[in-house]
Amino acid sequence: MSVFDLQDKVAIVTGGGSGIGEEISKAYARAGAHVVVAARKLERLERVAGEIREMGRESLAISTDVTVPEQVDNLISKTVEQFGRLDIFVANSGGGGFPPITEATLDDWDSQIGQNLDSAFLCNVAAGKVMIEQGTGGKIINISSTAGINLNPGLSAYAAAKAGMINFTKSIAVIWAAHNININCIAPGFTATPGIRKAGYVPDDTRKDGSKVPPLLMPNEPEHVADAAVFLASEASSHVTGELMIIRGMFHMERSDDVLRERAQLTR
Amino acid sequence: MSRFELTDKTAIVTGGAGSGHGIGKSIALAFAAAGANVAIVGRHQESLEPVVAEIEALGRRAVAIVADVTDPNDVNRMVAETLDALGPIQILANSAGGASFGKPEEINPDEWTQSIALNLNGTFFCCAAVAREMIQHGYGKIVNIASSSGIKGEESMAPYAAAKAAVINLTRSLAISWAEHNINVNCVAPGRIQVPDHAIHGMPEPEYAKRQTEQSAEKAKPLQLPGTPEDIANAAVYFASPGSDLMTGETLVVRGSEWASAYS
Repeated sequence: MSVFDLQDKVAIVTGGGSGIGEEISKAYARAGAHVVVAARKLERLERVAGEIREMGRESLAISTDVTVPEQVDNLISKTVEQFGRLDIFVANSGGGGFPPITEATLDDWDSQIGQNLDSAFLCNVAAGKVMIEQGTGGKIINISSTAGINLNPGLSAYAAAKAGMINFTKSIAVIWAAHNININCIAPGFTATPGIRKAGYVPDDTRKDGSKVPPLLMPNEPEHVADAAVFLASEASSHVTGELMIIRGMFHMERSDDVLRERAQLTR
Repeated sequence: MSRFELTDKTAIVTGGAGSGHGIGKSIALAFAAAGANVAIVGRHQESLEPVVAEIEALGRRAVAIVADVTDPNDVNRMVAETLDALGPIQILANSAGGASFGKPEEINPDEWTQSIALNLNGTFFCCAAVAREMIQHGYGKIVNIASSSGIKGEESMAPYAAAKAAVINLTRSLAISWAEHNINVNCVAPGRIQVPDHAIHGMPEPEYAKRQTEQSAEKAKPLQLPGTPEDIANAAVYFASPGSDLMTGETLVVRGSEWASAYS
């Protein structure tokens, strides 16, 4: 068995019904884990859970609002009830949406911090408590964003919350080292999720002169983020904690005229 | 096939004899276990041969190359000999390096220059020589072994820490430059690593004794203790594998919870 396998581990992935979370859930199942997928929309979760069961792994879809403490507790207790334990927790729920900064209210701000940072606090602590009780360690993976390292002029509250998540990860990593719980962050850059692709934000991989854009100069595919999440959930990263893995290639360095045009369109 | 396999890839590992903490040797063995054929590079034939034998026992091909990475001519020969023995090179792990110990105000200029040569120049010469080859094929994975001291500084190892900081920065520049050629360049920065049960060349006896005591702390959990060479090797496999295809220019620090110290 490889140190990258997750054979028979029990994982929870929030935001597991679509995009990056869906890809992480399936990658975990391929690596051998049983996966509980959580999000607000049960229909999407059921579809992912069904696909995981087709891979021969067990799966559970639990409708959860990760900003509500009782619902997070319910997610954890249902998982333990069904599988007897919890080994891996991926806090992937979140999302951006903010009015122009001069029009933003405290409610707008609170909503972004709630969705992206409070949710991480609630999920990390609830998962950590169970892992401490089990006494066999665990893996917690927080999905932040490159917005949390640099900035995002259109989504300043989202960027601030994601920065908070990176810092929070470090503090609890040190606290829970005594329980052998690894807590790390992944910061994906621009990722070509089906939603992003559908909205027309992903540039063509062929330049107008007919040459192919090398993969490192294209946006991430969700699977690239999922690979990092498998590494951080596996024995291969057993001495890595409190760290940040940035997944973004060099798309931001691509300077061909076509991409510059497409990007100008994006920010207009 | 798993995203973390290196089946039939050709890798070069410098510092592959593992004469220090054993990181280079551990990387060479982990690459072979993941399916790669490996050229092991070091300064002494006799210390490379046992590693070659271990890799062959895993059913992979291996070749020992005696070279000094601080000499660009040796580095060019290293690439040529690897091509001859194992074919086109897809992976390079730069693990050759080493620290000298002493108070900064007492370091003589030769010691400084030697440390920069071994830890920085050697890494650059190998990256450039191997990349010239990788560019021909439009694919490559380079893993530089830096150190957490290159991020936070180190009381008694100033030249080493400065060189490792430069390796972290060099990694970013190379990653930007070679993205067009589909070459990923990343760093693994080990924190404290368990000292082996033999003395480490250049490490003063009191320092060695202190580290031995550190790693036998009672009641401490693995994340609170120094790591192992295998921890570094696993991260190197990750950066050598398709599992890190969209990661470049980055540094992964492998140091358990040493975070708790200041300036980390």
